[in-house]
Amino acid sequence: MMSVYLQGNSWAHRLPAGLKLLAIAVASLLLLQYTSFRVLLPALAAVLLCYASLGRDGLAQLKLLRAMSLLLAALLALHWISGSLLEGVTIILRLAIMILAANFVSVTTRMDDMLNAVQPLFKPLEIFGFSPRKPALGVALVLRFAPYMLVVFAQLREAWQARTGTRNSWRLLAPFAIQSLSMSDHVAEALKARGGSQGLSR
Amino acid sequence: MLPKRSRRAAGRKACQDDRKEAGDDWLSAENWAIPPTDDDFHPSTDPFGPWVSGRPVVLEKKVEFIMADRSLVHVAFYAALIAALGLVPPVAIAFLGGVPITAQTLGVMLAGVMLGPIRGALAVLLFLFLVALGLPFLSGGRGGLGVFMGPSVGFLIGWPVGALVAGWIMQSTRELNILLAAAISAAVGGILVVYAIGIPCVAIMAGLSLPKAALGSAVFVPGDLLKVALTAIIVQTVARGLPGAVLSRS
Repeated sequence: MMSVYLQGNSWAHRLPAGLKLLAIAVASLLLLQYTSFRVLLPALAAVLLCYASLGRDGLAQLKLLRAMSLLLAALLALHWISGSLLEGVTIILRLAIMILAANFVSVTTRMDDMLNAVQPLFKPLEIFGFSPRKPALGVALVLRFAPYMLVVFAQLREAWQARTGTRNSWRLLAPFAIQSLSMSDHVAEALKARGGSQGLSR
Repeated sequence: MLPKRSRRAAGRKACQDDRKEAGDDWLSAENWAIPPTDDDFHPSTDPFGPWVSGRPVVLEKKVEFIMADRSLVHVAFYAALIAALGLVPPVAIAFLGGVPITAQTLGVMLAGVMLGPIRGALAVLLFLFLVALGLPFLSGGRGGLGVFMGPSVGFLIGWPVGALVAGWIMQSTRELNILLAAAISAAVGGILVVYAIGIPCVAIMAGLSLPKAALGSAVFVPGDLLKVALTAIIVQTVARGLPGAVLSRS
């Protein structure tokens, strides 16, 4: 499964998903109140400790920071220009802590557990005739559609390459759009033939 | 003996009364929650519909669900398109200053312009929901809850609003040439609205002043203009090849 989830059976994996989500929401709100190093540095240490407790694979997850580093460096540069370097450092530290902490929840929670944990949030929408199962079906459809689109595009590109010798062209956009759109129509028909999304409730 | 016309009317009345007694009064208007369009009964989408089988079985609730399901598939389709575009590697174009351009916001613009305001916004929200669930669908392979804590979260919040505005403009400019209408909708919804929400969020999250934050975000505007042009071309092409697919106008 393509996901940021990390296979494992640590203490963090065993915690219920709802609890982790609640904890991260509360922690982020609390952290937003502080800008002093006395709070931020222990918080950073705590988050890093969490990752370390997952073992070597957990620490490897910190590569996330490398992907963020360019953006954070640009922000720091903007702070430096406006002469508030120290403030910039605290703010970027806080951002890094919040990103790492939230990512920790994603790394240690399976996608279907997460989906089950947020499902009750859609319950109130039932009053408006919106089935809480629809988001789950939507998620499943997206997970199937996205790779299929890549396949359609790859096929078109191969055909283009075989005939012209060049790799890519904007001319592929039109057939790609029309082929994949007609695919979605077939899926709508297939869904209907099987009783629609309501057919899933039984 | 009544004249022919009155006899026919009387016969029709008798038939209707019969149906009412049998609880089979499908023709009366109150059974249709949503007035059926031709599309609902078109043989290609509804092979067993009333026009083919002769006896209608489509009642209020069924029509409603069928339409909702089609919409759900369309919403999921554009959410998947945004995800697939996120997997396209960023391109740095020299004459735009070498700033890497990702294809992802092209999908956001397309969702709004093609689907109309509500479904367009729902498509973007579904995509963001998947990202929040931990799928690495944001460009650069990012995903999970962490991205909603980053400084660029305002742009993510701006996307569904931008799609909503783009769809709304597209819908309310039906008379306009489709290429022009799509370009205007994508520019206003996909750039103006998204940046109007994104820049203040960068300023708050990163503790910068508004002009500084705007300066940092402005490098991406040329790439976005390129995407507006692409959106307009794609929408026009689809309108020619598959007119029914431009749902904001049909």
